[in-house]
Amino acid sequence: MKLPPFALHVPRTLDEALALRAALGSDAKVLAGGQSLLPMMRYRMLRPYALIDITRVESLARLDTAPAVRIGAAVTHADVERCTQAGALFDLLRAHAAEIAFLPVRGRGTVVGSLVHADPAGDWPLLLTALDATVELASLRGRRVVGLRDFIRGAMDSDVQVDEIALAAVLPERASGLVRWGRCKLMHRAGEFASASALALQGADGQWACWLGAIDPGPLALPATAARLPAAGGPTPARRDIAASALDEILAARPHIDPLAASRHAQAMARAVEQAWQGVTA
Amino acid sequence: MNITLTVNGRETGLDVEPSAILADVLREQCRQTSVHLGCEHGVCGACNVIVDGQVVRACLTLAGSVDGCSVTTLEGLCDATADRLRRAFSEHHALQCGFCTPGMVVSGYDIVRRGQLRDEPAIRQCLSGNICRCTGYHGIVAAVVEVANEEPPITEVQA
Repeated sequence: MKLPPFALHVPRTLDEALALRAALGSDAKVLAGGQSLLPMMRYRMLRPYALIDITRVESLARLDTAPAVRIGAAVTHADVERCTQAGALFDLLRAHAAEIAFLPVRGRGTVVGSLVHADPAGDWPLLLTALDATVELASLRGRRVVGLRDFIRGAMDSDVQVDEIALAAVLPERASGLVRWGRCKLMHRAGEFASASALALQGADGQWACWLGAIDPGPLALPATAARLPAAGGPTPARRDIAASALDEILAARPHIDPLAASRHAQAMARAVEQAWQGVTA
Repeated sequence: MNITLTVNGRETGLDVEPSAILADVLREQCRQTSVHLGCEHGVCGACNVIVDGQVVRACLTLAGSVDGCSVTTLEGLCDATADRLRRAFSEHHALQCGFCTPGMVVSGYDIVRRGQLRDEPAIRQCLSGNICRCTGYHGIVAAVVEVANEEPPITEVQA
């Protein structure tokens, strides 16, 4: 469907963007790539009367890698995919970005936009929740920082006030010490939304974290499965054991889940662990 | 709103609706009708164009968001790489009804120009963002793989 009429504002500075956001209030949505927002508007699931395109605000296009990773609100999935920084964390970020939708979509869709959108099947809500990122927000009233685990309140629901703009996602410094990782995204067809998505991450302290995405209402941690993974390495844990442990945890946390979906998530988790053990970093 | 686009090398001043989508502006105001609209929600790839060197979905890009940018559609692909790609599409029977072809050629051109993907599975995966309803994928992938594995042409490719 063609888009209904709306006003478009393309501010060049953050001050201008915040002033517009404050003036337009709930009539406006922030456009940060629009690869989810514009389809939703075409489907008439959303009907804002104005869009504030923040992608031409230069200060928001920065991707900083040290001392902590800070992803500005106009940084696209493709920007992350092309980041040349060395290290396990960046290998993971690149691999994760490269499997989002299709290249032409990655060139415009933004990381922070995906967090604000908070689609349970979104790729960044999963990875950045697992890495315990924070979100920086600004309005004319001031700035605040909120943990991503609180920021995403549920499916398609994030903690952005009507006058606020999310400025960046920031990873804690300890995330840069990532040792090993494995990930597994299951899709019916390349580039589609995930039907299951799993991450196994080993931090600098040797502790593992296991997370599932593409599950309602948002990313799910599997601490008991993570606790089974030895810090020192050793032989690859049996896929069957990991899948069984993950399945128990999924069914306990989401008792009403479709059994087939639960088993898909459990298998994805087992494959992610396997990849982490193989030390595959690309 | 008034915007300026450099469409296929020609700077064009345009008066567009704020809600105007780039694909509609390219088709209706710039008459670049190779920009095909299939799904209009970013899935089919028939509207792929190159904006400032990057392939994007023209159906999910507002014209007002790319004010001042350089846009290349299939009509603007006229260097040696594009010619070679067209010939490869012809030789490999990489089109049937032709609806998806402009998007396929734009995506294929981007793959060849970036020069990072050469093996068949990687190119097939990269082209998965373009749907061909005649299902002629084998010919399309074969054409792009062939050109991607050739020596770069003598003529400089477009930025």
